Amino acid sequence: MKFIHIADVHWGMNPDNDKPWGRERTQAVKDTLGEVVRQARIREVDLLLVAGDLFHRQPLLRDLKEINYLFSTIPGVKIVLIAGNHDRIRSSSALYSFTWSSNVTWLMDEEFTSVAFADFNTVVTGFSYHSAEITEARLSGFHAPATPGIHILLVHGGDTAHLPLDKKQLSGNGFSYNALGHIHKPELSDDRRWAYPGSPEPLDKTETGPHGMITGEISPTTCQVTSLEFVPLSQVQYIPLVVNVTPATTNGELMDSIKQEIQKRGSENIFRFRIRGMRDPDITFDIKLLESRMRIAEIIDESEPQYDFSRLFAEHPSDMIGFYIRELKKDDMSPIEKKALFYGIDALLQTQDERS
Amino acid sequence: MKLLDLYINGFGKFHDLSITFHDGSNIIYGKNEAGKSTLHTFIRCMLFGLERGRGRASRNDIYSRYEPWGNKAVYGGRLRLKQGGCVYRLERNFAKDHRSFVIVDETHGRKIEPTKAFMDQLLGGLTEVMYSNTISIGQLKSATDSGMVSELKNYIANMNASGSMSLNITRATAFLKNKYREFDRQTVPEAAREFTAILSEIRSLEKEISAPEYENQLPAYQIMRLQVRTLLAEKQEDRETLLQKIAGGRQALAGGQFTDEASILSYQNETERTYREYQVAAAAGNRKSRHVWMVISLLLAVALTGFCGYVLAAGDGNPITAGLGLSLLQSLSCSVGGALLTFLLGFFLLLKGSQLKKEAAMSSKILQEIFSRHLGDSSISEAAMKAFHARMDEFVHLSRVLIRSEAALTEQEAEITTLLERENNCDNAISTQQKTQWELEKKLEHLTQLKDRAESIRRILEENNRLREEMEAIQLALDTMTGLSSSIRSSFGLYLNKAASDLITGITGGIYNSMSVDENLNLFMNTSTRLVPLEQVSSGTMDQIYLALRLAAARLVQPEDKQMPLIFDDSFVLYDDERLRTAMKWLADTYDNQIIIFTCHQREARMMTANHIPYHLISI
Repeated sequence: MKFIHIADVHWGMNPDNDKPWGRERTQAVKDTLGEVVRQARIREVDLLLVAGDLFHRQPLLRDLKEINYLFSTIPGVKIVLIAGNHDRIRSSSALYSFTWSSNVTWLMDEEFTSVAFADFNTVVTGFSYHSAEITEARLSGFHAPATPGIHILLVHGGDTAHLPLDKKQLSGNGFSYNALGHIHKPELSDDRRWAYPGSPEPLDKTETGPHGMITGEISPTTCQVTSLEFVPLSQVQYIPLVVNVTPATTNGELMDSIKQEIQKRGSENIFRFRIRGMRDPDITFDIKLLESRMRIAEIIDESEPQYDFSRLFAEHPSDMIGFYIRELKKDDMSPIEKKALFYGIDALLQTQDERS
Repeated sequence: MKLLDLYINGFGKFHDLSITFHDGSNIIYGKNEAGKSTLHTFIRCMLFGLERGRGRASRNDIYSRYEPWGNKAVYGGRLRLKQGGCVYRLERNFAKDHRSFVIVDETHGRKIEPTKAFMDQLLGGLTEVMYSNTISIGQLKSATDSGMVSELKNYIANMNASGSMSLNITRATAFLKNKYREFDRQTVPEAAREFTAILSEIRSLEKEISAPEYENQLPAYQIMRLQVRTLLAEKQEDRETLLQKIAGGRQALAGGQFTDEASILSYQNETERTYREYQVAAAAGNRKSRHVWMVISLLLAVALTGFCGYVLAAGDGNPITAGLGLSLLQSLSCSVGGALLTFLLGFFLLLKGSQLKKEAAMSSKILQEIFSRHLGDSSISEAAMKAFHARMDEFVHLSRVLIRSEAALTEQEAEITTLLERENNCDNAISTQQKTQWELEKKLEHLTQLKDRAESIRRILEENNRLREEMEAIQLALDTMTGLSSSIRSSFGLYLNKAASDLITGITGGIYNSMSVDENLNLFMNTSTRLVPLEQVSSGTMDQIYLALRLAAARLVQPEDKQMPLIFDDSFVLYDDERLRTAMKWLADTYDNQIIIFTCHQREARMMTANHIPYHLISI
């Protein structure tokens, strides 16, 4: 029995909506779901599992129609869905009056319900969120029924406010496979008993690393997962990079090294840079310019001007600079105190009267 | 401390140059461009070193400015000085690849590690900055009075507020405030308010959406409608069947030309009556006596008529009448009368018989028609009549059934109307639901927009926070600077002003008793009678005040036992002869330390000679 497992698609989300590439991201979220469906067709899987948060918010009727159209293009694939905390089923949900394509089963109930597929001897059990949070550990002590055949558990959660669960327990709960959702970063257990596929597309600058779906196969005789694999699908990656600077680094040099890093890792990706190290006190890195030229979600300049405080202090033991350093420079400076130290020294040095 | 001599290997324009200093006053005389500044800088660099590339701007790059004109590998020289009874020789080479610094204690004949600690001790903790601030004394550079006023005021302000003549707190704070404003301009102060507004809009919208009126009841209504429709279809089919049945019944009734039960009964009665009549007529017509009597009557009438003729022919004498004793007339009239009577009776009976026959025929015809219609057989009989009655009873039954069916139909129609109404209600409810769902979708879309907007604003707020952190840091810098500045003013500043004030009488030769600095760092000169603002004193006096301040600062920053030589660099250019004389005399009297005066004039030497002040003249 071959299956694909996805979760946390967040259809309808507009990541980076204040960035020039924002619209592209919105579309990428949709396109990648289309790619998952295409993969389901070409890989001829039996089952497509969607472990919650297919939608970013309560779905509109037209969203359901779009998704249903996609699903209707793979009539040979059985699709089982549950709602997560983001697309939880509210009493006003259009899901209640929506008619899905015949290969689609949405486990709408708030309690565990199952759907059985005789053609590949599989039962999928799961439930949908109807509330924003589930703090009850509903999986502890929950076991697969003793009936023969393949049993799959489809659930959404994993943190304290959303179905707290002990991943170790999942390996021994009798289900052939636990298809999880909610955590946006992919994670596959070593014993192939459970996995988080993560979001097919990264949805935020913090969601770094590869994103995609999980494919797997369960032996109909042993009912054990025989293969489980993460397949990267996302159109882009968010890549965090640290650039180290020295007092010799100039703006142009920094720009070049950032450009090189971007070229090396693919300019379609979206980058976050952290500038670290000591910079020449006379240089301020022109971050805005870099941001407008490339797909850079964020540049955090943590570089510090390299003042030789001990020399400055030695030169100015009894005037403002010396007093100022003595007043602020401590071993356990807060970030603001540190900045204040730099600002003050910079101001004093830059406004010196020329006479000396 | 005393400078003994120096030797320049190479420094700027000089190489292989020896100069020896003496105790007391040394006047180094040289015309403009003779190299006084070079010599001055050499002494400073021998004491404090010369770093490459300090101060990025080339104008400040002392290193390249004083690179030897000749051999660049030999850049430096040596300076001998006496401190605390020991003679030290400082040897330095500043050249890029031959950098070296050697200190030799000549008194004890040993090399000394040139550590910072040793240099600090040697120089009494004096730094290069302090050296420039205090003991190396130039003149006010401005050429105009107003320029001098602001320069002097600036000096006083800097010294008072920052403890250094070059650190300008006013400008530094202005610089910081500018930065602060720049960050402030980048913040979006309305973002927080907008964020709150959007959040509350989101909350109220979410509340609105979760109201029961937006509950999706479409499936419930759809199921209900389906049930109603099924029921309705059933009812309508029943009704159709019933209608057909009724129509059939009606047709059957109409076939019998009946309308209702009454019409059947009256028809039945009528037929019954006709039958009775028929029976009577048929019975009367068939009776034999009637025919006998009619024949007898007619025969009697013929007999009587014959008798009458006989009588008439036989006359009176006929035996019959005669026998009876009747006259002819009597017998004639009797027989005529009898004949007539019997004839009439016979005729009546004949007529009556034919009438009865006719009536019977009529009734029979009616009955035949009735029977043939309802029974298919026209023969009239008691059995037929019985069959007819049975048939009519059937009609009555049919008519009763019809009435019941029609009642049922009315009932059913009422039910159908109710069901139709219910279906209609469902339709309405569904369309209302669809409308509310549509409204809901609009609201959900609006909610999405709001949430996206909130997300953007949240990022703006984050940026605001980042900017605020910078602003907070700047504010802390400003506060720290202001606090330090006021403590510098209330300690070093006060001492400086007081020390300068103490010196001013001597320097001005008693013209001014003292000077005072108010809280706005305005300077006033005091005579015994009035307070003169700085702006009103002459440029010469300003230089004197400057000198007083520099000397006061020099005293304040150096320990009593490690006083460095005072170095004057063209400090007295603006002094008139009288002032110069006063100043020179005062200096010689006040300072027992070494004094080195760089000048491009010969006035100082002349003045000292005239006043019998010993000095050592060095010409370059």
